[in-house]
Amino acid sequence: MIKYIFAVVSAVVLGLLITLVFILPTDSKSAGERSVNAEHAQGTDDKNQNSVLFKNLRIFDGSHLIERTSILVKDGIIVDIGDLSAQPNTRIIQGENLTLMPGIIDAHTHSFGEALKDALRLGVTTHLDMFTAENSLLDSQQKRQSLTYSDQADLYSSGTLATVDGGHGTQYGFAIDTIGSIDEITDWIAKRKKSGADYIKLVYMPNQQYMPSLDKATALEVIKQGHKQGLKVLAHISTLAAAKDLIEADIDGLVHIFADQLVTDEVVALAVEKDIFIIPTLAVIASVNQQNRNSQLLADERISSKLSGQQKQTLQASFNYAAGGFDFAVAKQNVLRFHQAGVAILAGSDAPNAGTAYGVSAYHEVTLLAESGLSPKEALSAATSLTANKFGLLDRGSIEVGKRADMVVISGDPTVDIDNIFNIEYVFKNGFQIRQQLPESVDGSDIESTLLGDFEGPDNLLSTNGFNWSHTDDRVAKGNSIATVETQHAIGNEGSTGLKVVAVVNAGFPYPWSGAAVGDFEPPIEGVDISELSSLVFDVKGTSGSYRVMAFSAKSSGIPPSQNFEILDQWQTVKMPLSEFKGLDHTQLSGFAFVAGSTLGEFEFILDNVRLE
Amino acid sequence: MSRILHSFVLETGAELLKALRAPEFIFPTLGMPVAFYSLFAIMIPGSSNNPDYLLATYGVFAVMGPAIFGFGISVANERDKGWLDLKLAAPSLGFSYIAAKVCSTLLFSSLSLVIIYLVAGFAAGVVLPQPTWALLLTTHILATFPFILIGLIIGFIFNANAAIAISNVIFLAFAALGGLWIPIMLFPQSMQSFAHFLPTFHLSEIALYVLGAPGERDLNYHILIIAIMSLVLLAATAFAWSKQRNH
Repeated sequence: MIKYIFAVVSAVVLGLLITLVFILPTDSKSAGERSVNAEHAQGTDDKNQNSVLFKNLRIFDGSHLIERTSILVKDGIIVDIGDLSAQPNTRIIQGENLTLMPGIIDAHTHSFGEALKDALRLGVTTHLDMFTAENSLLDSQQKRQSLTYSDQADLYSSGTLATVDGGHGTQYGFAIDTIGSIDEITDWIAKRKKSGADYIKLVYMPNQQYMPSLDKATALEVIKQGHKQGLKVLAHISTLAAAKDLIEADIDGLVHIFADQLVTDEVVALAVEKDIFIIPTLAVIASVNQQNRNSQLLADERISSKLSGQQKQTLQASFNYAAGGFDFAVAKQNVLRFHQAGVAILAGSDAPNAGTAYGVSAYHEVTLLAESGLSPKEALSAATSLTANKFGLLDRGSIEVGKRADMVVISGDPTVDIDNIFNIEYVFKNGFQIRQQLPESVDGSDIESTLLGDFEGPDNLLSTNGFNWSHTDDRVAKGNSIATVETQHAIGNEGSTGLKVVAVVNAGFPYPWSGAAVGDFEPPIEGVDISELSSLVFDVKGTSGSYRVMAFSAKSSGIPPSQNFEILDQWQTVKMPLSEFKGLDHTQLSGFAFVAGSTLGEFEFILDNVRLE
Repeated sequence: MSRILHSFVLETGAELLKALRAPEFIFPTLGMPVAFYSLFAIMIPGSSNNPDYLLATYGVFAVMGPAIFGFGISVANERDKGWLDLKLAAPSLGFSYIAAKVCSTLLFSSLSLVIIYLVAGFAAGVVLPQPTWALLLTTHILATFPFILIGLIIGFIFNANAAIAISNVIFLAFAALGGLWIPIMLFPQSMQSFAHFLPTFHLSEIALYVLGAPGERDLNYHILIIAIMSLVLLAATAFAWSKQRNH
C-alpha cells in the first residue's frame, strides 16, 4: 500500500492546485461587462485596467483647446492622439460635451494624513508640498515614478522648511529641524536632500512682532547654498518688502502673493528680469481675509458629496482672527499685475489651512485666478502644464504622447465658463480610473443613553455607549500639562457625587491643554450617532476662567472643533448647541474633552450631570 | 535507476504516512498561516484594504512552517534516535531519504497555500487575473526551497531539543523581520535595511512583484540575492551533511 501513497497524495494536491487556479475569482468576465457599461461606470475603481480610449472628446492639453480628438492610453501612458478607432480589449470613454484635461497639480499643500487620497478622488493627481513630515518622502519619490495602481496622488515636497526656533512652521506640535546660525545652512540643506526633499522652502517674515524669522543674511545664504546643492529655493513671504529682498537675491519662486500693499512697477520689473514664479494661494488668503468663499463650496453638491469628514472640517474651519496685511482685493490685483507683465503664476491652495481642503481648493484656486483676471485657459495652465514646466516635472502636466495618463474628464467647456471644472466626471491616475466617491462610511451606532456622566454608583467613570471618563492632557503630545480626575461624594451639584478635575497647564506644547474627557479613544473607534440631538449640557463649578469643550469624531483627525465656556465659583448649567462644533461628524461622535488651555496655571473644577439633549 | 525511484517512492510514502498519522503536526502547521492571514487581512478593521498585498507575504509565511519545522525537527529527531545512522547503513539511499522529505514538504506547503488562497479569493475578496494567480502560486511553492535548506541545516547540526528552539527563533524572526506579517514600509528605516539580509524579505518582494503591488521593485535584484542565499545554504547543507556522515 505504501508505494501508492505518494502517487495518490501528489495527484490530489496537484489536482487541488490546478482546480484552485481555475476557481479563484478573476475579473476577466466582469471587465467585459464593465467595458459595455463604460458610459455609466463613474463609480468604478478598476485596479486591473490601465488602458483606455477617449473617443471624440474636447481636450485641454495644458495650453490649448482642441475641439474634437481621441486619445489612446496604454498601460498608463498616453500613446496616441488623433483620429483613432476602437482597439481590441480597450475600454472606450466617449460622451457629449466632455472635456479631458491633465490631472490637476496643486502647487502648495501640506500633505498630512489622508491628503493624497482626498486629493486624488477629486482629480488632483500631484501635490507639490511646501512643508510636511519627512519620514515618507523617499518612498514618495519611488512611488511617483511607478505606473502601478494607486489611490493616492503623487507627492513632491520641500520636506521641512527653513525657519528659526519659534518661527513660522514650529507651531504645529512636532519638532522640526530649525536653523540656528548661518554656518549650519550647508548641512541643513544636505539633510533635506538626504531626506528626499525636492526643493527648499524658507520662511522670511522680517520686521513683524508676531514671531521670530530668519534674518535677511541667513535667508540669502539659504538661497545661495540651496542653489549650490542643485535645488530650487522657494519662499514664504507676506509683504512686498520681504518679496523684494528675496527676488533681488535670485529666489526661484514665492509660495504666496503678498497682500499688504499693491506691488510697485519696480518689483514687477525685477520679477520679470529674474524670471521667478509665484504661487499666490488666493484660496487661503481669501480665508484669512474672511471672504467666506468656503461656504459656497460646501453648498455645491458637485463637490460636497465627494468630501471626506476631514475635508469638510478643514474647509469649514476659519481663521479666528482677521490678520492685518492680508487684503484679498490687493492680492488679486498683485496677481494680475505680475501676470500681465509675464511672471508665471501657478495654482496652489495651501490646503489644509483653515478654509481650504485637499483637492477641492486646488480647483477653487483656479477659479480665483480666473477671477483675478487670468483667462480660463491661463488659469488652467497654472494648475497643469505651467506648473509642471516650472518644477521640471517631465512626465506630467500636459496631454501629449509619452506623458503619464493622469487626467480629469469634466462635462462642459472650462474655457467658456471656468466653473465647469467642478463638473468632474472621471478621474484617471496612471491610466487607472479612480473612484470619486468615498467608500461607504458606516454611521456610528445609535446612542444608547443621552446621559454621559452623573458619576453616581459603582464604576462611575464608565459611561454608556462604550465611553468612559478619564483625564486628558498634552503629555501625549510631549507637552508638560498634567490633569487628574476622581469622583468624590457630596461635591456634586445638590450634594450628589461629582467628578473633580485638578489640573495644571504648563508650557511645552504649542497648544497646551489639560482637563477631563469622556469618550471612546481606543481604536477601533466606532462612534455614536448624535445627529438627532441638539445640545451638550453639563453642570460645572470651579476656578473661575475661560475653558473649552473639544468634540471628537471617530474618523477625522487634526485639530478638533471646540466651543468656549466660562466657569464660576458657584454651580451653573452650561448648554452648548452641538451644531456649533463646526466640522464635527455628528454621525460618529467619539467623545468630548472639557479642558483649560492657552492660559497657563493651576485650576480645578467639578463636573456633574453631563448629558446630551 | 528504477531502484532509486522505487526506494524514493517508498520513502515518500512512508514520510507522508507518518505525517498523516500525526495530525497534531499537520493541523497547526497548516492552520496557523491561514489564521494569521484571516486576522490581519480580514478581521482587524482598517486592514481589509490590502488583502492582496498580504496574500503575497502570508503565502511565503505559509510555506515556511512546513519546511523549517517539518525538516529541522524531524531530521534532528531521527538523527538523535539513531535512525539516520540506520538509514545510512541500509541499502536505501541517502538521496531518497532527503528527496522524500523534500517532496512531502512541498506537498504540505501546497496544501497550506491552497487553504490560504481559498480564504483570500473567497473571503478576503482578492481578485486577480488567472495567469497572476498561477504565477503567484508557483512563486510561493518555489519559495519553499530556501526554507527546506534551512530546515536541513538545523536538523543536521542540532539535537532534537535544540532544533525545536532554533526552528522557532528562526521561524518567528524571519516572519516578523522579513515583513511577512506587517508590511515592511511600516518599519523603521534600520529594520527595513536589516530585512535585506533575510530570504523572507526577498521572497515576499518577488511575490509582490508578481502580484503587481504598488511600489517599485527590482525583480532581478531580489532573484539574484535569493539565488546567492540558496547557493550558500546549499553549500552549508552539504557541509552539515558530510559532517553528519563522518561522525
